[in-house]
Amino acid sequence: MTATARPAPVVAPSALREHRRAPALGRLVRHEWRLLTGDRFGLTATLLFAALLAFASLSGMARHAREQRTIDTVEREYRTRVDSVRARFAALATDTTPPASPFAPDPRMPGAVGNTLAAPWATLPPGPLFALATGQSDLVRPYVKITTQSRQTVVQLEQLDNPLNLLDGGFDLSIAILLLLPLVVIAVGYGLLAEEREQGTLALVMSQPVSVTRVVLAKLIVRGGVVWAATMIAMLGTALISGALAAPLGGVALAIWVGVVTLWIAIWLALCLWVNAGQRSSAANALRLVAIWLALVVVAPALVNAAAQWRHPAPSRVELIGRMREASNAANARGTELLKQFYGDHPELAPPGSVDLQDFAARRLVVQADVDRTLAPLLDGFGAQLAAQQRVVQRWQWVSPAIAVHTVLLDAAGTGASRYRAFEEAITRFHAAWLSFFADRIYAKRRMTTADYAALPAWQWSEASAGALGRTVAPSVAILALVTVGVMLAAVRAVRRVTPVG
Amino acid sequence: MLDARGLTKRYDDHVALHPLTLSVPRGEVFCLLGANGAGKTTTINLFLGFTPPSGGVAEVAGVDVQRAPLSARQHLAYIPETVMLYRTLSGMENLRYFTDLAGRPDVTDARLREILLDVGLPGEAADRRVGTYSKGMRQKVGIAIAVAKDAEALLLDEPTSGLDPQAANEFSRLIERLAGRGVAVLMATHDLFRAKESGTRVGIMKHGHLVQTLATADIGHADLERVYLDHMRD
Amino acid sequence: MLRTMIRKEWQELTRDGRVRVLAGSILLLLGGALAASAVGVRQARSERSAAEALTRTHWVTQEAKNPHSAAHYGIYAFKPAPVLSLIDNGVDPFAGQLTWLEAHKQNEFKARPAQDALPLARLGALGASTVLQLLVPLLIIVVAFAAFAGERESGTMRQLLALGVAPRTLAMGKALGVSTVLLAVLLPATVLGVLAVVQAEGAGAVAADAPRAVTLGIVYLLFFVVWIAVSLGVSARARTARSALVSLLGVWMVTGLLAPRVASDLSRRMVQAPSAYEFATAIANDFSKGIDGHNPADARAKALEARVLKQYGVDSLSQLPVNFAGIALHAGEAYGDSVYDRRFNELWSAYERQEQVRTGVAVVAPVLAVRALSMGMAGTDVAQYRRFTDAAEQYRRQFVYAMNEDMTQNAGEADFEYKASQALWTKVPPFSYAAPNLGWVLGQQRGALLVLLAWVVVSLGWAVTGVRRLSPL
Repeated sequence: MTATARPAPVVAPSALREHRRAPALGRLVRHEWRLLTGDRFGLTATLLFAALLAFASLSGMARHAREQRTIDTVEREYRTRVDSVRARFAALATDTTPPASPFAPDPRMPGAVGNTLAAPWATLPPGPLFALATGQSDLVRPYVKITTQSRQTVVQLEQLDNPLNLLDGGFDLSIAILLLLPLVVIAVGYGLLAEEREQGTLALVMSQPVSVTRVVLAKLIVRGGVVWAATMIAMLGTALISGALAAPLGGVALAIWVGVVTLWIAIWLALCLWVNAGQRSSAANALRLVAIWLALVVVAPALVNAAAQWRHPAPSRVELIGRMREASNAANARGTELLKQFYGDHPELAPPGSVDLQDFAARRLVVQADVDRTLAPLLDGFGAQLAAQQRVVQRWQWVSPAIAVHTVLLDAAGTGASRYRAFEEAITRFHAAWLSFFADRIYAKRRMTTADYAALPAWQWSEASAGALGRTVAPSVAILALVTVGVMLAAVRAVRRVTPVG
Repeated sequence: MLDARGLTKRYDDHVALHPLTLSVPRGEVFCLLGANGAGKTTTINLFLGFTPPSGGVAEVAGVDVQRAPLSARQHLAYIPETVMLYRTLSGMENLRYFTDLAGRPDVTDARLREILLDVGLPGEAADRRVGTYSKGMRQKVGIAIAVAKDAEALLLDEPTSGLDPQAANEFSRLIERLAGRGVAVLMATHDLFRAKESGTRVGIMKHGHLVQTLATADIGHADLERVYLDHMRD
Repeated sequence: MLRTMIRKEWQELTRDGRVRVLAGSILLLLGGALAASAVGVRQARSERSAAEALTRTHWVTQEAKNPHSAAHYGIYAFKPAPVLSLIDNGVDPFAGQLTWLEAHKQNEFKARPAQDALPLARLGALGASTVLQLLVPLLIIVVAFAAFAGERESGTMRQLLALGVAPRTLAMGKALGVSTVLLAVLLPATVLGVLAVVQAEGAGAVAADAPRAVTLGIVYLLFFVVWIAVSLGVSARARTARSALVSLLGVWMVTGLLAPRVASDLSRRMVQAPSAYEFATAIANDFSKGIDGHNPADARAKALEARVLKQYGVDSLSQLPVNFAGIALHAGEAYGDSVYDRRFNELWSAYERQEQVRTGVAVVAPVLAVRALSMGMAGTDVAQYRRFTDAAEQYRRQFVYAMNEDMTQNAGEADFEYKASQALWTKVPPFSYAAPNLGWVLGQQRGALLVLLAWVVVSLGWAVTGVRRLSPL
């Protein structure tokens, strides 16, 4: 080599050595970004994820619109029906002729009004983040017609749907976040350090005066940031377009989602880092991470759920049928006796003149009340067992953060167990009020009055307060935060010990 | 500049490096010769702080590597057998990154291009992806990193193995130039010829011991080979 | 030669801790799932037969009453729990288990087990079918991803080919090696499965389920063949073991995890099935346009009366040799039947078209075809659910007809005051349902069957071409 034409000396004056400083994080991040855009597999995974997020968003918005439309239709149907019943009543109010038949839909007869003519729909508006999480919404019918029939006939929340679709559930953002997001983090993070080790750059990096944790931090920021940003865009976009902020609790729910999703990403980044701190190849890391994913996201929730079911099995609805029949056979046989007893206990409800113990409507009511009384503990048993199962799951949710994430996302979205249970309880209470309103008039053989029409019990759904929602999700969020911090610390400790030599 | 005092590395079942005392001052090229497993790479890894010593001290510019690895590494540059770089990035982008890591974001891109030219990387190659580089070109980027970092000590682990003779020669000239400007060089190698050509001193290692140190000025090629083979014979 | 290779593969794979852990977990989960569902199925069966017996007793011990009151009292039908559902309980948790068969109305099946379960259950229970559809393919991937790519990376492939080993022999050895490891898991799994079935039902009845059980086994074997072929095909083409693994894991995740959910969403959006409200409203509208068997003021009832009087050549209802109330009830039922036939048929055919969309998605994700076939063999698919509900509805119509006919013939002028004796109740046979045979199920699932067979052929062909072009570089 001829050195004659070289312009500058190869070694700079040593005064410059004093200027050394730790590289700015921004520069490291820019480098990592370049690396990521050169990583075909990571890029494909991220783009696929983004496409699936978009699909989930669109599906979610369509679902939300359909749910809202159905509820609007139902409420409209009710208003039209009640208006026409009121009008017919106004025309007949002073008419004292008896109705055409006991079954006739006569707006003067409390039996007909309470059971069909003015039977209201109890509706549940879509939860604040309905579009983001299907949850149990495909199983539960958010509108129930409240009649004067028995509790087990009226409080029926089963939605009509293809069981195959119910089996698979939909693909929504909550599922994308719960199942898919960890896999995408794994796809961009399985080779975090192992790849540098495999291509030999780790030694060169580590021969520089920079701590591995700083380099790794840049990697985490870029790789986690991409996944985080994609998820946030999908989440916030769907929430805003579907009007979450206008819905009660919308803001709180969204904040909970942002927090939980951030923690969830952090947990998986930390797991990637922790696995990468070992000396294994990137392929071995990928396998190990997929195994962790399988254990945490698929196996653990299924096992915990199975344990909860085993510990507090739901009562059998098949057996319930037999009990129900027995109760109603027994009550029917004692119909006259029951009615006599009732009028004895409630003389104020006895109709003027002689009491007719064979009156069809009154007998039916008193029999039904007896059956409902007998069955109430059994029916309450379903909710109680489910609540007990939920407590078992709460107690065991530290087994896998996936359990906590799932529970919190659904509860915040308003499609989880807690809100639907509250709906069912509210319906049960409203049904009791509705029934008793009309029962009094049927027992007393009174006809409807204008005042009665004004005093009809009205369905009102009251959303839980933000504080209540906060209290529901707080334990799970706390566990998530603890797990995140724990895994992060373990990962950072492990990374400090990384060396480029085998 | 590079000082080892009683530097030792023991594993559970064997000793990789028996207490080694060695000093490489500025401007010197010290070549470590020896069979595979003689302790050459271990010595280099100990200076880099990639592996903790079982005893003794390794110092770079007076800084204990074990105690303050990051500040020791400020003075170091390392060139492995094959300089591995980010394949999807260009030579220039790689150099920029490592210079930043070295704590020298103040070195301008123009200066980095100058350095790449200076170490003999063709101008058009600087913006090509490293995936297309030959081994010789990568080794040059390795030198460029050392230059850009303004390292005072250079650790090389068989940097010329697998290079064709012309490329190896070019590389050796670069090392000599760096030494000429006051850099301390410690190089592990199998290549007796290069050791004699570029080295100022040669150390022969065997089973983790530094068995002999020679000044290359005092010895011919043939003599060096004879001495080396004598040691190897047991 | 082949034997040597299989032995080498076996040694290599069984020394891999990951393979051992995964295979062990699969057996453990499978055993646990089978044991739990054997107990569950057994309990469900005894519960249901007890409930059937009890409600039958309620029916036959009714006091003397009007036959139409008896029809209103009604009968309950319970969906049977097929024994093979312990391997794949399919849509059972999401299908109603029972319905009330009563006069005038075809009720939907109610009481889905899922409604009494936590949302957590929706993430997927870990039944035997999940293990077979999700975890076994993962084991195949772990065992096979490095088959060629690993040898290529480590340079041993050069060695093998230089020795003159034909690529075909090499591939055969690999395939058999992988299969041997798989068999080591599947054989004990099969034994566990048979034990669970025997435990749930007793050895005698197993013979009746044998054709379905054997077909179920074949379906899964074909599915595993597809996975082995795909894994070896990818491994033969991949440059590094890592890229083979990563692409296989990607395929596994997309097809196994996403495809069912995406298919479910797609099918919902492409074929809109009615909501509960729409369905009930449509039926109510239809009814408002037809005869009401109960309401003598109804104009249509008047017209019927005129027709019947003319038919018998009499002037008044009291002169009729039969009871008109019974005839009116018959007419009401006939109209109701036509409404329910139409609306339920619409509902089920919407579900059928949704399932066709899934079969379409199965073209890219064979696990969907396997799921359909697996549920079919287990007797827990939608087609067999529909067949059962249809049978229950036919039974309802027959017994309601018998009640109305008794009223028509015997009520005379007593109308609804007429009382039939217990003899009439016992004349109604108990409801019994026979599951369809294998041919019927295969006919229903022929789309899925075709897709699976096509996958077997294509994946094998793809693996073979990959191996033919095998290069050590």
